[in-house]
Amino acid sequence: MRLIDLTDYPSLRYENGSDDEVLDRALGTGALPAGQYAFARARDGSVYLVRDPVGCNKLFFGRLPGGDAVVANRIERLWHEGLPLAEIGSCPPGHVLRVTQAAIDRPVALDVCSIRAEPRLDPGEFAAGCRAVLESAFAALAQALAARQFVVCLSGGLDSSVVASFAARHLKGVVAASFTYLDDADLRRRALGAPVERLESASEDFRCAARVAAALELPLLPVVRPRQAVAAAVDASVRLCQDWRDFNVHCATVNLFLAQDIRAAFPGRKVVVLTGDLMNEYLCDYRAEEVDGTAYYKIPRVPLDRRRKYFVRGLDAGDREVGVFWGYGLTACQPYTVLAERYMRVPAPMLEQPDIKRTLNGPLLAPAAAPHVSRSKTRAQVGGKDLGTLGIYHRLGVGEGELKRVWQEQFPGESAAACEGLIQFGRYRLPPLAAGA
Amino acid sequence: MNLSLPQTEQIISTMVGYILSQHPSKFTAETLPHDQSLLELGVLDSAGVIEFIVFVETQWGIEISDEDITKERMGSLDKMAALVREYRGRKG
Repeated sequence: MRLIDLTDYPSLRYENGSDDEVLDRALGTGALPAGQYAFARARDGSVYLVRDPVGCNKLFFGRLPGGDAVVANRIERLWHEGLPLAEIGSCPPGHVLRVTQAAIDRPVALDVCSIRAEPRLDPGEFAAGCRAVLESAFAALAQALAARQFVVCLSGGLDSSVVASFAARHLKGVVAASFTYLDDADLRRRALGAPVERLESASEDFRCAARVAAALELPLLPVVRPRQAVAAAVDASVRLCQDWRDFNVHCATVNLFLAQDIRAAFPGRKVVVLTGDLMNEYLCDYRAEEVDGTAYYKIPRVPLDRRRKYFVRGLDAGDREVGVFWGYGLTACQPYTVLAERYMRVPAPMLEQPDIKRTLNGPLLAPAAAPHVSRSKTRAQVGGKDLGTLGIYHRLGVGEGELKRVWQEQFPGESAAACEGLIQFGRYRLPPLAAGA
Repeated sequence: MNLSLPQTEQIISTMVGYILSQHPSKFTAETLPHDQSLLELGVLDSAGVIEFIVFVETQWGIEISDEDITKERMGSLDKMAALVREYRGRKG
């Protein structure tokens, strides 16, 4: 069987070792390193698909009529190779799938969500352990990617501020980027040189981010858009994030604006964009939203440990970070990948404590940044007046029906059912596995 | 929790009771289709599906594995009932 490898997402791991070594070790020990990677290898007449434990990098797979295996990080690349959507499957996070002419099985199947919680977890020890892991991860980034330009996305909240704190200490030449909508008058003032954080229509999140950046002595790249810019960003947001569900598309839109301006600020440079993504999933820190009486982002009413599984496993589907930044030639880096196993040990009763994120993660902040971090921040796309990007989508009348239509539009001839079938119960569809695999 | 292998009709009746009480819609016990996707019918949204799965697992003391959480295996009340019987059957 021939392997046609169309993967083109950058890989980020925090330890040395080639893809072949990662595969060898996985097959030998059942372990996969933390990081963001998804790749395929042809060996002994089989094709092995390997994907990182959290599922940051996507990996889609199918078989061409002649039997060749074709893999890609992007669904549309497989489709343009001639694979109908119904024949495209995804390698699940933390898995090694072995594809032979006869069947697909899974010699490695890790599930970070199956890690047992520690009922007597000590928050102080926990934070110290997380700090040590992050120190090591950032030291590895500094060594492996020394020549890159680093940009940290700051939303004003705790998660991205912790990432910025470590970036400021470990990496050279780091720039912070933060996003806000501005009204027309403030856009004119901005064009004349007014600092964005002093403009009335800038979001409170942006102001927090600006203060955090200043406290960490990071130059700030303000990314501003009029609210009207969202309408023109819908198509690209859906396509790049490989998803039509509103919570991911709205987040992708914010990242799209950031990616556009980061790319423009560093033309021709190899840029690594650090984000604070993943922590909300680890700590179940999401809430439902309501705009003009319409409910959005409904949260399942299930016990918190089950809800965390739902959120973390749901990271499988949607490409709002890596995919969107990849679209602009940027490498997204989600340092919290290295903490997945640790956060799965946080017991459910602790998750229910009202300020648990600050209890666990507050100690990770640089002391200078701590006083400036927003206490209410959750999703990047709901910051600002009128619930930010979510509110704008709502007022534009762009709901999930329209987002599905945009998704389907890129696959002419495919039915709505085939398009929507790629994500089932919050996860990308598996390829058909051998019985008992 | 009933440890014997439940009959399909019993399972569906329990599921329908849950759906009608927790996720009200235009359907009644008599009109709720057993052979169509509750998601596509608009009875459940994505959060509701998760709640439904947790209800099923708790009610019948099973844990549905990831590879079975697909439209083919869980795409209707009939399919869900078959899945519950299969899991309960495995528990002996």
